[in-house]
Amino acid sequence: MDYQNTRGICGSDGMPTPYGPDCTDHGANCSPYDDGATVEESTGYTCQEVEADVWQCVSTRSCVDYHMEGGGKFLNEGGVSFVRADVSGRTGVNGDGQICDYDGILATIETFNHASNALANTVELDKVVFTDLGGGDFGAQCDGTAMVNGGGPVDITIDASKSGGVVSFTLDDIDTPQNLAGATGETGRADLSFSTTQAP
Amino acid sequence: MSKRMHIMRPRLGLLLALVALATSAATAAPNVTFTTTPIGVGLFEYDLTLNDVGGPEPLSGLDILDANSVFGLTSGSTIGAPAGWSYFAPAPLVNELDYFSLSGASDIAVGASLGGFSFVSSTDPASIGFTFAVEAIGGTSSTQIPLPNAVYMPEPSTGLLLASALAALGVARRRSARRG
Repeated sequence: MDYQNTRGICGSDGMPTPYGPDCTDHGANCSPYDDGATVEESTGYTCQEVEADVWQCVSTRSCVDYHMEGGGKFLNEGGVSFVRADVSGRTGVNGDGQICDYDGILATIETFNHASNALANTVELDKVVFTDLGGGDFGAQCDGTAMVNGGGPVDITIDASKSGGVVSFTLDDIDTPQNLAGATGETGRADLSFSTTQAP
Repeated sequence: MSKRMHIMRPRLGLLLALVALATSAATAAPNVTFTTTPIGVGLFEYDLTLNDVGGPEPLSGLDILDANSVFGLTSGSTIGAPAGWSYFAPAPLVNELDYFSLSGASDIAVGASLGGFSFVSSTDPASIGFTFAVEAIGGTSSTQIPLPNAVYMPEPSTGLLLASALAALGVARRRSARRG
């Protein structure tokens, strides 16, 4: 099993249990699928002391629940876009500040661009990458599909961020390419938030 | 609050609304008028009309700016839009109810009006002085157009009642003057 790539699917059947099996080679790479046997290559699992004198082959990652929400009025040279966005899920993180997920992403996103009369909704995401910058600031990049004015699905990419109180959100058609909605959030009338909580 | 105050407040609100309506009509600018209907259990249906009076361009959007904080509207609220229009309800971190025309064909032409914007709220219109903040979106420019606060239009029966009361008051004064 390619658990190096699948360990991000926290809470799913493919995720090894958070504890065990026991291991003996303290600190070494190990395989939770092979009774904690020591392996040479990096697996994402190491032999760690989970309590006093108890060593187990456990993930170097922890699972978090992430959540981005918000929207409002976004302005660009072409005019006004309305945005509503809610993206959440559970994935594994390794403490480098990035949160990536590719499976089981819950997304409710809808946008309307007044300049083009483009209504995008029924969004399904197959990739999200969040970068938590601290102090409420973050960056997000998402890929997936959306229905546009009832047609599609079309391949889309979303870039969202919040930095120093300034929020931005763009939803682009990858194939055309075309900006379907968004730009810079209007001060006081657009906001996005991103949060994580440690998953049980 | 005394019984008299209860009676006075709606009348004052109506008078203010009528003055505001007259002012709005005089300036001939796009505006929003609304009526309310008590529908029981403390709820009111708000019915809005967007009037593109003397505007520079067709209108393709209507925003109720404090839809969540003033009216308590959320994605679970009862909200209606005219044919050819849709809306985004308020959401976490988003206070506004945003209506939008789905195509140029359903934009409101200059000089025309469109009703059918509605929502149900527990907010008594008297408690907000029979007015609230709104904004439009230009159909050509796709940019925001500031509007005066929405203006309350009394129901026809209420208007007739008010007119009758004013007429009766006039007659009474005339009789009083003759006696004097």
